[in-house]
Amino acid sequence: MSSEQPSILDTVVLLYFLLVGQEALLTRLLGEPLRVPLAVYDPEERSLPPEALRHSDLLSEMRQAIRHYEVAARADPESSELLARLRLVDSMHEQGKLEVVDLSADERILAARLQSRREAADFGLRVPLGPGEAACVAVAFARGWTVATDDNAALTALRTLSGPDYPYERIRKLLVRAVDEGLITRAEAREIHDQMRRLGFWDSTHLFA
Amino acid sequence: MTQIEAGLARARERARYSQDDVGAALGVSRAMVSYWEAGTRAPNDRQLAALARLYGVDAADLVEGRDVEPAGADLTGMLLRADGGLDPTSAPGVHEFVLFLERYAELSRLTGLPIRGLSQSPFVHRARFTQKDDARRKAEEVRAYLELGMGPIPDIDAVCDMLGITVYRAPLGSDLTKAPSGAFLNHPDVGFALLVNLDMTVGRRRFTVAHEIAHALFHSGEGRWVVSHGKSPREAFADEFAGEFLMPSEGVRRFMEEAGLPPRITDAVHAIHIQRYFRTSFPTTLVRLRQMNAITAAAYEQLRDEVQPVALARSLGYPIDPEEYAQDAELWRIRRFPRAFLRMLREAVVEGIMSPPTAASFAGFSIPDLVQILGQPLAGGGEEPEELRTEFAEFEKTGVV
Repeated sequence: MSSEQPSILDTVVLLYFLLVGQEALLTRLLGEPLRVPLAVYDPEERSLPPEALRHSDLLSEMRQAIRHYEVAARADPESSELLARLRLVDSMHEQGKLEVVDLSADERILAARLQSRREAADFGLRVPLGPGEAACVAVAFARGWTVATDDNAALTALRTLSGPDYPYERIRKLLVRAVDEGLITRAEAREIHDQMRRLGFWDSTHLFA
Repeated sequence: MTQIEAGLARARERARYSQDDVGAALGVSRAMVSYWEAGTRAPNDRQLAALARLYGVDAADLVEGRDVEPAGADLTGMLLRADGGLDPTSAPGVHEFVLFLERYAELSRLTGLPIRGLSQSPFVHRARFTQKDDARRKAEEVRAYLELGMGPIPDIDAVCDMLGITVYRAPLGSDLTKAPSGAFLNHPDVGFALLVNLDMTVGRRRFTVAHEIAHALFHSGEGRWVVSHGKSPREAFADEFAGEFLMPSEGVRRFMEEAGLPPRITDAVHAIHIQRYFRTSFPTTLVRLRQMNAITAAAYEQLRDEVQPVALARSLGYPIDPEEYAQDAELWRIRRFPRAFLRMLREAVVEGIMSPPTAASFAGFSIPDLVQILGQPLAGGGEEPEELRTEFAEFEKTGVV
């Protein structure tokens, strides 16, 4: 059963559910279509000329991740498999399972302020947010949507804007809910989480244990 | 949206880009950039964030139409105007270099970790060091200072680390008649910093690092920056220095003797052995041998024109870097950054100064890139071999621990 209100999805959550092949579970938890800002996924980038791809830090965050695995896949069969999973993001968009949310003028201004070095402290941050996180926080704050992220900095900014009672989802919280709702067993949830950890998903308590 | 229109053209001009440059970097036409600036169309949210990053300004300044000086605009401008003006294709790479240095300084402030940056050369140098003999003597002097002996330099970046010189790599264009091979800048916060053109061959990049070391150590007294382009006595000095630094005459002679090679090279296989030992490009190797009179003019020309050095090296059993066949800047997405910067970025995450996604966007990485830097397991790492445990057990049994 999906949550009641719409959600806006940050890169980390989408990335890791795709990497472990659990995008269907994510959709069941957050509802179809999944919604992301353009900074997280831009469908137009599929047709970018090679010259633009030289500057990968100017691409959307999902395309940057795809570029990472494109390079890794040249030498590593496991990365090829992960690349194929990540590329599902394009077909999800084509099939209407993933929707790109356009920011309103006010949301765009807030997202820009959240990325500003000068204004970071106003949002309780030492370093400004990246474009994807900033866009998600702006949409979540302006529309009262649930933000799905695993970025503590994004949650700090949202708490500063909204006060303590803002709706949010994190990867582990989503997996717990999936168990509670009977979508997967506890053992399956643990396995999904372990797979994500093997692929580098950080856990603040275990990050460098 | 009128505020955005007004700000876009100003920010672009201040960052010294043409509409063509911006279109190429973002994958849109020049006309589209023109439409954005005229207000006929608007960039989407992703494009706006990309423009802010490209121009070195806050996205908030673009959205709200504020007229601010882009980060590093003065330094970028200085470098781009050097040597009578660089080709516009080099502009994004030069700007990326300057922005990297600003970020590096910011990261140092955030983490409290100092940048061990050299800001004054420890070597005596006089104005207009240009003589060939000067260059060779200076290369020997620097090798002696670093206690490098006469052998090959396996890791030129490690040499820069020892000297306190920061090296960054960015694509500047493959047509070296227009694009620079590299640049040196004495940055106010980072100290001596080198930029290397990623669009060159692997061997040429190594040569360029050595070349820029010469500018840093022997021309930094003459100005804050040197862009390596064109032919001048100063460039010739740096070339001579780089050749001797990477392939010291004495070291080459010693290797040839120990490897049983004749004093005059005529066989391509012998040239390849020398090249692979000193890890230089094939052209650099032949030029050095010619300078040392260790190859005749005729043999030089023959080997230059007839040998396929990568294929020959492969057939001789030498490991081949995939980039020896074709440069691929994408392989350098992480490696373009100096190791000290990556260590500092990791520290910022470990200490909770930045969340992993914030650290990724701060440096312009993807999340998987950042995970790789953090040393987290990634696909393809595989299980560590059991032999490692056996090795530990053997050591511990002998009582050395």
